[in-house]
Amino acid sequence: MTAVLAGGAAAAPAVADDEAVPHPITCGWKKEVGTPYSLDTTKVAGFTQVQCSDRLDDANTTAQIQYLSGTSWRDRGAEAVSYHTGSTSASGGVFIHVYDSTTKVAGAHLYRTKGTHFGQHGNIWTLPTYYSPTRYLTGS
Amino acid sequence: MSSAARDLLIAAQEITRSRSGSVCTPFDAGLAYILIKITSADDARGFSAGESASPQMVMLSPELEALLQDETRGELQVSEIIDAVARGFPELYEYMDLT
Repeated sequence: MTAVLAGGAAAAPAVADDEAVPHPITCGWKKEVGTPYSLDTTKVAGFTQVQCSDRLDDANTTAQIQYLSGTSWRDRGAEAVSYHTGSTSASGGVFIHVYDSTTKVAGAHLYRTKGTHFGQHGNIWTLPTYYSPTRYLTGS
Repeated sequence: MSSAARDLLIAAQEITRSRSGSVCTPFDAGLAYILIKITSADDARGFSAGESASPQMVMLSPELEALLQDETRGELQVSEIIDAVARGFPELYEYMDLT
């Protein structure tokens, strides 16, 4: 097993004799995106987006709509899990986009989208938990 | 990986970040497990490291990485992560028998 941090931007890859060492890939959350929005009077949607320097071998990325109940955030509906390894955009960037939608809570509530990500290109990494900007939405 | 296993590993890497580490270890997973057990589920869900000098991409230690790479055996469960804690850090494991 190689202990090389292949995904780290600053890590210098050690070259093994008989296996091709993948070039490092850099990934991070696209910040300030995925603020929940209304689909209609009863449904809310949001997304998370991971931006990478290249396509990944494997990935596990989630989006989960949450709402503020009293002083604590609660999950609303089931999380959306994506195993997508990235699509190349017209500008050459690679994105993993995970969309989640669920029913609103009755009344006005503050919403946000939470994201988690595991990625693999040689080694496995995780990104910090992502939270989108928040927004008040009203459900009926 | 199961949803509970993901929640545990995500909490574990936040603990890695709280010590500005760059590799998430079974010790971090053990602490995360105790944290989740002794706090309410809602509080634990919102747990995230504050100011951290960790890189954006935190790697998994060889013990944890092996578990995820072995996913052909079936979905990774929390018990397998706990097993890695018990093998690597028996003293920490003593604190994990919480009900």
